[in-house]
Amino acid sequence: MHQVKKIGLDITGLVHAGKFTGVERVDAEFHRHFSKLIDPNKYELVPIYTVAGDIDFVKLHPKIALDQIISKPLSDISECEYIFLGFLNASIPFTRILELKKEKKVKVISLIHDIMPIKNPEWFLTPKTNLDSKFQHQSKNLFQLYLQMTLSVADIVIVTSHQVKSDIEKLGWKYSARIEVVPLGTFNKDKAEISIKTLDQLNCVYLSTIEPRKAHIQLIEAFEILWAKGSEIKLNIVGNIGWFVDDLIDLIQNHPEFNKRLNWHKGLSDEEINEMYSESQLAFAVSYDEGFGLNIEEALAQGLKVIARDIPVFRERNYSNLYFFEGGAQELSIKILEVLKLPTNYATWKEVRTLEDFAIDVIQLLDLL
Amino acid sequence: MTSFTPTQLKVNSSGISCERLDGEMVIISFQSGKYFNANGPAADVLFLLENRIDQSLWNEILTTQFNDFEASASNISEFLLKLISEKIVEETSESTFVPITLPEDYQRTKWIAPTLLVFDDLADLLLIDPIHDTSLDGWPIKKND
Repeated sequence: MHQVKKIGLDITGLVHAGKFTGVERVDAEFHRHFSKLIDPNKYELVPIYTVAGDIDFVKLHPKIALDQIISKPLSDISECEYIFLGFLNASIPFTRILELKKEKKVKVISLIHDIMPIKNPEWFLTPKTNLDSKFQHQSKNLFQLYLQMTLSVADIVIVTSHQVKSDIEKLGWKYSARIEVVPLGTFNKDKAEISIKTLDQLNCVYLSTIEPRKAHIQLIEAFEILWAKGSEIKLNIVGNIGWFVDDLIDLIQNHPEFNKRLNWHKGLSDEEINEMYSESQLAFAVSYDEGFGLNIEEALAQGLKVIARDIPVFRERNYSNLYFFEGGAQELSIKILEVLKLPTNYATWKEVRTLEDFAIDVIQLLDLL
Repeated sequence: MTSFTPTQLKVNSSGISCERLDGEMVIISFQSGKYFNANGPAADVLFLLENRIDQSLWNEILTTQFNDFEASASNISEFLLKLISEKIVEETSESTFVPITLPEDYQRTKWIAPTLLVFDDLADLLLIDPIHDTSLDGWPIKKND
């Protein structure tokens, strides 16, 4: 008879998130599929929490409070045979984990979504530069610290694209962890009913947090070119405010087309996002860089065509309905008209990878440890 | 032939993570729980230690990169003593005389006495998500502080 092994999933980052977007949604959805798919005769999933004190469930985002792992009783890392570090959390007791690896042969799997804070620190928050302060480091330093510690304890590091694997390898650092590429997938594969409209009634959607690397300005400029030619195609920006975007927010809200052909939707629920997709024909993934770029799968799964920037991480996909553009706003505007005239392959949504597929692949890796 | 310490040194092989990025070395001691930061010339000295370059070659290597480098006024010995006291480096009998070039990952100008910044009270700061939770003044200033 096999002993059931405990897998401790670090929930600290999720508990402290205070919001439910991007990685929080991915984490919670992964937990849902992981719980459903894991063999209970082999593994028990338990939450581990690396901050002193109890979790204040009242303060949790309602959707995080419902997370299938968070709602279970907490375990100590010393009780676990496996530790899954799925969320950026620098408070993980790395030294203790290293000791447990020696004493109990504990195995550690870590998920790293990207290393952009050290690859492109200019996209993140301004460094503190006061040299009189004891703490003069940048976000980049803290991320480096986290990455070094994670690579020091992990047996397997899961990355979501070959691009991120290459980015880590290019650092030239020393680590014994095996880096495995496991692409993410969409949350929802219930294809929306796509409305058929004429070229002048079309809606386009860009779902993304508003931050500099997401290239909203270039997208708006591409639409300005189309609108100047008399096009009625609408651009719907869906996403909450990130950072370094005060000028962009001013540009959107004071744009002559604001609330006409240019719309901005904040704080939409999943249902409202699906409704937005069902009203749209074309979506965008125009970031200058991503660890993965999940909005591609999300839009394709809803039956939309997608125009993505021609960067290596997006090129790792091979879906019909996915088109690429190179260059600036002018080239993007040409590509928009070109793609909108192309027929939609309505079967594409069936091919799109899901987060259930991601969980299946993670379980396979676990079985290999 | 200059040597900065009586014996050759190397980066401690157990419980230390030492990685370089853009001319900056971040060192983590899993034993003491401290982390350290070494910039520019300090990172270059650590690079020589990591590669176990015999100290007799350091003067030549550093003079090539820093026009004003003078071994006697470099403060390298003091820096090495600090590294020893923090158990970041240890003695070794195996040094190498293989020629090596310092990484071209930052703009070198004048030699600055190497220093080691020591951080031992980061528990709370490490809870701050460096991407989403810091203010526009940057980490470690938290939003709404």
